[in-house]
Amino acid sequence: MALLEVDDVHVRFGGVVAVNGATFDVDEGTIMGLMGPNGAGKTTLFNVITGLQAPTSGTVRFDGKDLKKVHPRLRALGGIGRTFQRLEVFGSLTVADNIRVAAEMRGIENPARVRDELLDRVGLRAFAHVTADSVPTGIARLTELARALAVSPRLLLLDEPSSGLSEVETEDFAVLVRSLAEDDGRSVLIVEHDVELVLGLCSQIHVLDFGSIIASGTPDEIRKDKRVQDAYLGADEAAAAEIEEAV
Amino acid sequence: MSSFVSFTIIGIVLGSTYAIAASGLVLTYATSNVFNFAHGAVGMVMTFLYWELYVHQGWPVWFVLPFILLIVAPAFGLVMELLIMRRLTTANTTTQLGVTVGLMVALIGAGQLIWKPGGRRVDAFFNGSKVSFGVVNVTAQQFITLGLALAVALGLYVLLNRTRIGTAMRAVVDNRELLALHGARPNVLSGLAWALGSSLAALTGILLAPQLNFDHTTLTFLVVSAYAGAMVGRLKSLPLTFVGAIALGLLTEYGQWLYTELPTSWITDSEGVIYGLKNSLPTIFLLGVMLVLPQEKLRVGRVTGTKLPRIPSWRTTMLWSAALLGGSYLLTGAMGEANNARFGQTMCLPLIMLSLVLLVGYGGDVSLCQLSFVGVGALVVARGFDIPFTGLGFHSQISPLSIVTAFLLTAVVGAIVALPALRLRGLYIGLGTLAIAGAMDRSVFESGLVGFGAQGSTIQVTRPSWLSTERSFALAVVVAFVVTAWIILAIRRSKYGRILLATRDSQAACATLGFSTTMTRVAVFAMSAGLAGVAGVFFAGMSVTPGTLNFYFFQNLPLLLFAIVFGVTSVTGVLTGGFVYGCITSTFIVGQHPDLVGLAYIVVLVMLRLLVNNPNGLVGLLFDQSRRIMSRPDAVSAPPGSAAAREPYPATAGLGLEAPVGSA
Repeated sequence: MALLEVDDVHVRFGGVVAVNGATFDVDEGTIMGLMGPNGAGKTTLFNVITGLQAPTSGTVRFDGKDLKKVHPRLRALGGIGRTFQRLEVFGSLTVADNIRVAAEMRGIENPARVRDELLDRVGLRAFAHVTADSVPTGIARLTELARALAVSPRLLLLDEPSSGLSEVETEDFAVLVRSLAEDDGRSVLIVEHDVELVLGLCSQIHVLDFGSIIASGTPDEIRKDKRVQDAYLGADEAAAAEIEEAV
Repeated sequence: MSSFVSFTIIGIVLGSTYAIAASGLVLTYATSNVFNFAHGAVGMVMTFLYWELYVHQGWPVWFVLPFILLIVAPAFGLVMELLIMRRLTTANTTTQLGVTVGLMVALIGAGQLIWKPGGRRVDAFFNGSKVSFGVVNVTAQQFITLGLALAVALGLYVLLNRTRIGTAMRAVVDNRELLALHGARPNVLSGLAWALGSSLAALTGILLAPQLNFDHTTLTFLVVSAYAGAMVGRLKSLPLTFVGAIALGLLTEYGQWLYTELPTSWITDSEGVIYGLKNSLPTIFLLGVMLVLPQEKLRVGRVTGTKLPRIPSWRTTMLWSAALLGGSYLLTGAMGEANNARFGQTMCLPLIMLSLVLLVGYGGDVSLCQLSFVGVGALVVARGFDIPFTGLGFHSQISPLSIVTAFLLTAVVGAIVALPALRLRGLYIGLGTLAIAGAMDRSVFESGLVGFGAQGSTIQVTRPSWLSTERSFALAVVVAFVVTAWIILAIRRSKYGRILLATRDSQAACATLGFSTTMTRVAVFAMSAGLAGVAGVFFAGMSVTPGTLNFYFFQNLPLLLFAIVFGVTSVTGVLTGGFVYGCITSTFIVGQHPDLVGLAYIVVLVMLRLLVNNPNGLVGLLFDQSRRIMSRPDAVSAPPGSAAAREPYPATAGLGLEAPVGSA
């Protein structure tokens, strides 16, 4: 049984269909990617999974349990963690305290040690004592990641984690995410614009366009998929060029 | 039966007046996202102007009415929009609340400065002529009110929903810049909304004037009742606002009717409780509405976090504490007992404001009933309390036991008040707590049964023998300030402080970490109320005969205002703010210059205007300045105020990241 099962989820905002029958699974210990141009419904799907947005129809199951009507907080307690595309760091706390307070909120033992381990693991040592509202976007994203990790989620949803990171930083980031799955056994669901990053990192990829999944498969299959190339061509020529480059 | 029918008519007419006020409020809120606490105060000023021109100067009414409603009031609305409201649309709720409350207080101050309090009256339109319908009479004034309410309802509905200007007005609130790109002129649109809103406020005041005690605060706050109507429409829907306003009008008048029908003996036996309850009906209505409003959804993608002043080190805290204590010791030694009493009363205000640091400064919630908590603390010590089974108790004496009891009981009251706060945030809590403060005035403090009695000042509080002089008790107040400040700083440094700030910064992030912010917010409300209760004990001890007037709900507004202006996020901020506010009240009010208070409030408003984008207040600005000066050598390579100018960085490691150059 897959850890996360998303089954025929629809979300409509008035006349706009944001998600149109999305169906996919995330297995334990794997990295799964969601790709798609702007407005494809990726973040909405994340909000559905974490409970910030109620689906118009369809079900989300986590660990076999239907999450319908389960409060976001209880989903988090069940082991779903996430980062936000539009940052939700605790701006008045330092980077280190952002991590520590997460452990403290959940009553995890020795929050100071959790903080120190994660500062090193995510590579935030240098920014430990800077307040989170004054660090660059990339660092704030990593802070959110470390904060989510502080409460040891089984499934981690990363929303555009690499935007704001430089090329070198992105490579380091990929190493980190891989280790989360391989060493810790966490499942990761990642929404990304950076096509190369997703193709390089994920074992399974779904491509969303206008709310529908237009392609699913391994990185190799996605590379060859004509519809994917069209979707990217239609939406963003730069991204299409990237795909061609990657292919 | 005929009395029931007349009360129904009066209720509908009153409701119509509320509806006019509430629709003005909804209009400005819908176009600018700013809830105008000063709405009633604008109406008040315009009504006084109406009195001045029509009654005092004797101008003809056919000229005065259009002159005020179509020229003066709209112009005033435009100026407000231009100078203040335009910049507030994106500010956080505390700032919005602070600025509009400041405007309200300043308008009342200005009103009192120009029109000295005193007997005034305005006659009803057409000299109160009536039309008889069998058993009941309807006055011309009532007909006019009903007609105007209908016209306003219809006019606003058509304007907002059926015209291009209306559509554009509703769009202003969503995205000014975007609207401008589409060729509309957002400033003109929101100016129009504020002009209309201000005109509606004026109309309400003028319609209400003949039936009221014609004074500054009554006029200002009667319109506050109208807020409840706007709440029913969730500050958006005009039709629902009208329904709510009419319901409120009916409820108020039916309460009045029931009161006249009750046996007189019940009313005298209740020692003012029933009377207070009757007068609190609008408040109860407002609280009821807040409890059934749908729970606020978790929001993402907001601007989060406000940089707080740095926590002072223990050493700094110790030095400042010693300086404050030593300074107070020397000062009180040099002054006479009368001045020491004044000094002690002044120092009570910083002590009271400290409780706001926790709740407003750190927690990001708002309380406009903090002074009521202070009152509860004072009440506990004044009336006394016997702890069951222990034989322990106290009556009007200040002792460690009465302090602890006051803390605990007030904390319980605070937790209860927080109940509506569990579901709502910001603005709604501000309104709800103000309503609670009003209700406490009328049904608790004024009651002879449980409170101080209608005019208070009958219960005398005794100090411990070793603190009997004014000087020693004033010093005790300073010690209480220092101890409370240490408690607050200790909380700020602890895990609870971090959690509190995290809760304030992002509730959505807290939820996705599996943390419920509800308990935190109840706890902080309770703690803050408890500290205010303790301040109340010291206040009672300092003033010896605490009474209802000390805790009059209106005074919550300047209290919060001064805290915000001087910096509600730091101990130094509230020490300064409380001291200045204390000086103003004890020097001007006690010193018989109440007219100067208004002037002081106007000055505060001007200062507030400078602070729209600085939530840490004047003291926060000073902190920033001093830090900038101290770190000048570093500032060569980084612009002042940027992350790099504030923090030294060790060599970078980890992901190959570089130290930040600018901020995100």
